[in-house]
Amino acid sequence: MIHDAQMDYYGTRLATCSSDRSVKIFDVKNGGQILVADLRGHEGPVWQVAWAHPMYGNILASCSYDRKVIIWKEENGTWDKMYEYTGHDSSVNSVCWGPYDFGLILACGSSDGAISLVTCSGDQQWDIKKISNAHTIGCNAVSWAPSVVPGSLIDQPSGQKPNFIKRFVSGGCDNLVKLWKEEDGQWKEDQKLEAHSDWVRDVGWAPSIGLPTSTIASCSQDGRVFIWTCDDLSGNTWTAKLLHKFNDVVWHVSWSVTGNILAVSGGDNKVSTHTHTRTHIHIHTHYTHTHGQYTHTHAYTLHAHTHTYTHTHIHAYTLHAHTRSVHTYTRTHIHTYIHTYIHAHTHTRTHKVSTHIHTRTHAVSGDSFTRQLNKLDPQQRIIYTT
Amino acid sequence: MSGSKPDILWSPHHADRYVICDSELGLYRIGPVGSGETKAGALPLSEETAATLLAINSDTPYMKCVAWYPKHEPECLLAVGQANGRVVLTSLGQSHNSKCKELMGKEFVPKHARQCNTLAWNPLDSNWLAAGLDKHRADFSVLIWDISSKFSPEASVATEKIRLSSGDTDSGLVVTKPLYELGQNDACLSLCWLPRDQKLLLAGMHRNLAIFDLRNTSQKTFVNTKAIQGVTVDPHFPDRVASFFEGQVAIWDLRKFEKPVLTLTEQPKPLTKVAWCPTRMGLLATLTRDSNIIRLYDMQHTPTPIGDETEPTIIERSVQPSNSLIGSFAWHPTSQNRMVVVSAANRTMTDFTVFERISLAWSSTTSLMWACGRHLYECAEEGGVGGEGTVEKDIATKMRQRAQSRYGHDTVQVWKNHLLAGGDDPQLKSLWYTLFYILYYKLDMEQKQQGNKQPMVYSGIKNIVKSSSGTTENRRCWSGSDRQTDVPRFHSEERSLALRLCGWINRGPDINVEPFLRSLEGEGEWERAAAVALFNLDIRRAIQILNKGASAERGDLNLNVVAMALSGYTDEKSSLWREMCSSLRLQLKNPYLCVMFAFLTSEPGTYDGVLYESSVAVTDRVAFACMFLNDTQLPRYMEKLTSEMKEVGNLEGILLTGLTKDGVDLMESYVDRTGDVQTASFCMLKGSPGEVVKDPRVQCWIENYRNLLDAWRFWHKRAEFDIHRSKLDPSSKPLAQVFVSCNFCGKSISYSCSAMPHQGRGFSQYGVSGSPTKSKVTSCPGCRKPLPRCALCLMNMGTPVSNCPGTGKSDEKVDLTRENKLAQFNNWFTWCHNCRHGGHAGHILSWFRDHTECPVSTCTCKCMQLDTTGNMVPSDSH
Repeated sequence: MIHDAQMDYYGTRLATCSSDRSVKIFDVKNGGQILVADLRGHEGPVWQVAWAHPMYGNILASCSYDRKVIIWKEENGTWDKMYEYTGHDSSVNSVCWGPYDFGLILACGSSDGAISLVTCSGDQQWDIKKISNAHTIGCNAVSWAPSVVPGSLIDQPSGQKPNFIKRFVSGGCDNLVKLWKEEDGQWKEDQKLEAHSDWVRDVGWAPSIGLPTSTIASCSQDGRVFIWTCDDLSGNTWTAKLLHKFNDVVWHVSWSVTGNILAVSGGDNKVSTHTHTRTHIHIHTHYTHTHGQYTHTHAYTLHAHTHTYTHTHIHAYTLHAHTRSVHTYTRTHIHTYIHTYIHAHTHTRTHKVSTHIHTRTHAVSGDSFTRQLNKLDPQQRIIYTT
Repeated sequence: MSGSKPDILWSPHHADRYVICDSELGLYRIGPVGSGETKAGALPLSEETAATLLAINSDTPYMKCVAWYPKHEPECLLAVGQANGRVVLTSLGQSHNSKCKELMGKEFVPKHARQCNTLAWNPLDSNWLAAGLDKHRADFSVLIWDISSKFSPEASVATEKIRLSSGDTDSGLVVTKPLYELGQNDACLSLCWLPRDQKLLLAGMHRNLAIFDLRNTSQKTFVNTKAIQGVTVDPHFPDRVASFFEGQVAIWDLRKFEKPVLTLTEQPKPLTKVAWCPTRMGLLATLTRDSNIIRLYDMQHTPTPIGDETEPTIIERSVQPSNSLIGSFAWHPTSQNRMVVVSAANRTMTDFTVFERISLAWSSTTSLMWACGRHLYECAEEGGVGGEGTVEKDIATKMRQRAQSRYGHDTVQVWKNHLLAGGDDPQLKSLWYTLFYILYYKLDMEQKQQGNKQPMVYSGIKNIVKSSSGTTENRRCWSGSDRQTDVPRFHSEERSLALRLCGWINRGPDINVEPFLRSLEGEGEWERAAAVALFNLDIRRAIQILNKGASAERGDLNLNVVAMALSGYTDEKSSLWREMCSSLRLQLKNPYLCVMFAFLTSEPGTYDGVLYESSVAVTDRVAFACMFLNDTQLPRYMEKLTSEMKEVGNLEGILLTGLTKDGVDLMESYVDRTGDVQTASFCMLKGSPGEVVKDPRVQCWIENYRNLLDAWRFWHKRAEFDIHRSKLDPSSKPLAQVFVSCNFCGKSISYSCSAMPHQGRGFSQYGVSGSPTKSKVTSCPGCRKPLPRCALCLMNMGTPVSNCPGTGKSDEKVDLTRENKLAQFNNWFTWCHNCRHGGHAGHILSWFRDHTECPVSTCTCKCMQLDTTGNMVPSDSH
């Protein structure tokens, strides 16, 4: 079972990790998948992988149930262990590299409730700072804030090296989202955000493209996804907005490179993308069902603002990365034609049948759109199947 | 089975068949909805699947437990344990072969009648069937029957007795002698064979779990516990066993059988079923009485070796297959994580899949990847090919496409950039035209203005008209008629500049909109052209334009009607024309037609109908205001419109704000809305030299855009952008990062040659002997010692490169003339930072295309692999 898959900075390599204790690196240039490396070193399921910024070389971090964090580095075309961190007392659930400007710094969240910050202080020297009892029962996710120069709206005295404020967000089994900040070399709890009623499964700090506004997405076992925003420069007042309430656990949230789209995956086997700006939220949902041998994907779009005919083209392929026997991959073309008002025809080639899904819903606009969605049960959104 | 509670069993060999048993046995086949196989009477199980009832068997009353024969043949053979302790073999379906017929109806009868609690077929020796019974004095409670055993005459007496009690049993089919008798003086509640050894049987007895070894039936291993119900072995880990008692599940490791390795106690109600998922490691499903959820325990850890005391992490999840209370469930034997659930009350069945955690990741090119179970998916956004209209693409995709079409780089015909962006965005069109006019009129202004102050054109119409002085007012005749209008028009130098920036008039002293009207006609914007003509008080021209529009190809004939209405214009206040026009104009769909009548019917000075018609382009409204609003009204209107534009981040507002701090504010709200840092970067760079580029927000957009280009591997585009940027904003030019100094005298060779008369651009000009006559610089200009040699062609650096290293000089000239530009780079110095070997960039590049090691013979340095991005191909290669 694959636990995580991450693309590198350039989108040319894919790292996956699995319950078979392996970390695999694929070359995905030009649409193919070539296994480049199979990294062995963990003694338990590997939960997450993270690529460092390419300016530091090809560096990958992986964390596992075996309580270890391994930092791998490619040198002369071969991947080797660069550093092994064993400072946690329980499964390490999440790893995340800080932005390029912060140097080579890795945050690790563990089931022992602690968060470790592993910094490369040059020449194979690693400096560890540990925040004990960051989340009681355990920490599930960590995510770094993009680098922002303090007082970026005030002119910086030229020639002075900017002093970056290092911040990150974490989510844990105490149902809390916590913000951490480095002050005088020490990590301190900056904010505590309360809204979830069950374990926080994932947190994601949005890449801020252009603005000092901070945005964080968090999702939880309670099925809710919150968008936290902070407009003031001091970073003290955060407001929560419920993006959506799902019926099952929400596993992950992920922001696109520009921070415009939030992808959400849930226990109902659905991946939805939320186009997020201050004024609009569009929701596109892609289903993934895994019934035995065959795989099929439904896709549909809800568009709130236009009455025009819309047309998306979704390209999906599956790849059996971690099965012992099969190494084939099937390519599925799903052509989805969506009428906004809303008639969706789904053609799945794997099925050799085409199903026509007609859904009728009210076109709503702006903020009322989310409310409308709350009323609709996600399962009911495909209402008529003919 | 007890009549009230149904149970489900999947066929061990047919992935599409299962049996529901309560008071009778029902065999179902599961298939996709609407397929030819499923009949009209199919029961829907989910959106995709439905079940068809194949057979019903109600021959065996008082069923207590059922077990499906594990081998292929005979298929559909079931053992049923009854309330009186008998075990009956029965079948479902029509086709029976002879072997099956022989077994059918065979009964296995214990000495004393009591309830049969559980049945288990031996998975290897499939003739062995273990039955667990209630306690009867000192009798045995675990009986292992051999189904192939024949009728035993010795037991006939006992059989006779039983026949009296049960009636119609065929004596030839009754077996009363079990193969093994175990568990004396005890009760057995659950049984399972251990996959470790076919002779080992695990039994949940009255107060203990016992392992019986059939090779030595006198001995058993046991552990005292209350958790004796539903013993079941993890199919992925033969030493792991689950059992339960009330609301508590105990997980056992058979290698360390003294106590459970784990107890899961969180359920207030008693459990009814516990089952390991057969397709997924370490997933245990549990069901309690009167519940509509199935609780899953995900034990995602590898089997811990004995002695490791770490607590396994368990992820608990609840799933709700349907809204009704669940009677029972069964995992599908082969389909991943799939189960069929039957409700307690009305036997409704649901096909349900427990979904795995889906992990997500975006790639830099806006494709989304997700991993689910063993599959990995990629979902990429593609352009809408064909079809009517396209879905609005994500801004990242748009920016990528625009970067490829060199958007922003047209510095001469600046307005053309909106065509490079796709030409379908009216805001971008307006923005690039505004920037075009600003740059176009910049020169005019520079001549008049003194000092380094940025020309006024940059400060936007809002500020231009604010500084307006010497406004004159005049009343003009309607051209084409000598009627005097009562419409005052205002003129000033600043207002004329504003009109020029709006594109209405050209450079020059007089106000002549004719060229503008012609270009609008050329683009087929008839309504807009007519409105502009009308605002210039040329009603005849307006009518003429409308007529032309009506007769044009695919023209709207209604325009003639509008022209007719227009021609009836009268300035009489109480005329019928006026009255009808003011009320009917609102029904006109085209905003320009609408504002034309609004203009004609409004009082001088009150043009709200025109000024606040939001579907009219901002340019036209601003130009209109500059002509017809007086010095007090105009700044107020500009202020209002500007703040409106800033609020929504409408790029048309750049016309008003110009490239000032206001403009950055407006752009900020545009970026906030769209994330389009590309347009923001290019637009603000045009404001240079000025304060706007120094605004940290602008710097931030530029940096973000450069990072995006990097991440997309658009390295050439980024270089072009940097060049473009340093041209406009010289302060952003990076300092030289590398200097080459002579090995002998230690002087920088580029420094020394900058002192020489004939050059100026660092050491890159070494060997760039544009004209063959120019002397080649192959020695240090400081000490005249030769420069190092290229590792490949062994010529001194500074010698122009030849196409193939080693060929004679004869090729050189051809090379230089043909590939002059390329040769410039090929002649550059390049070297490895690690081994310090190097040579001509062209030679070194071609060497590493085929080799990994350094070209110098004794050097084993893998120079190219030291560069992590060196092998990466730019995705925008020309």
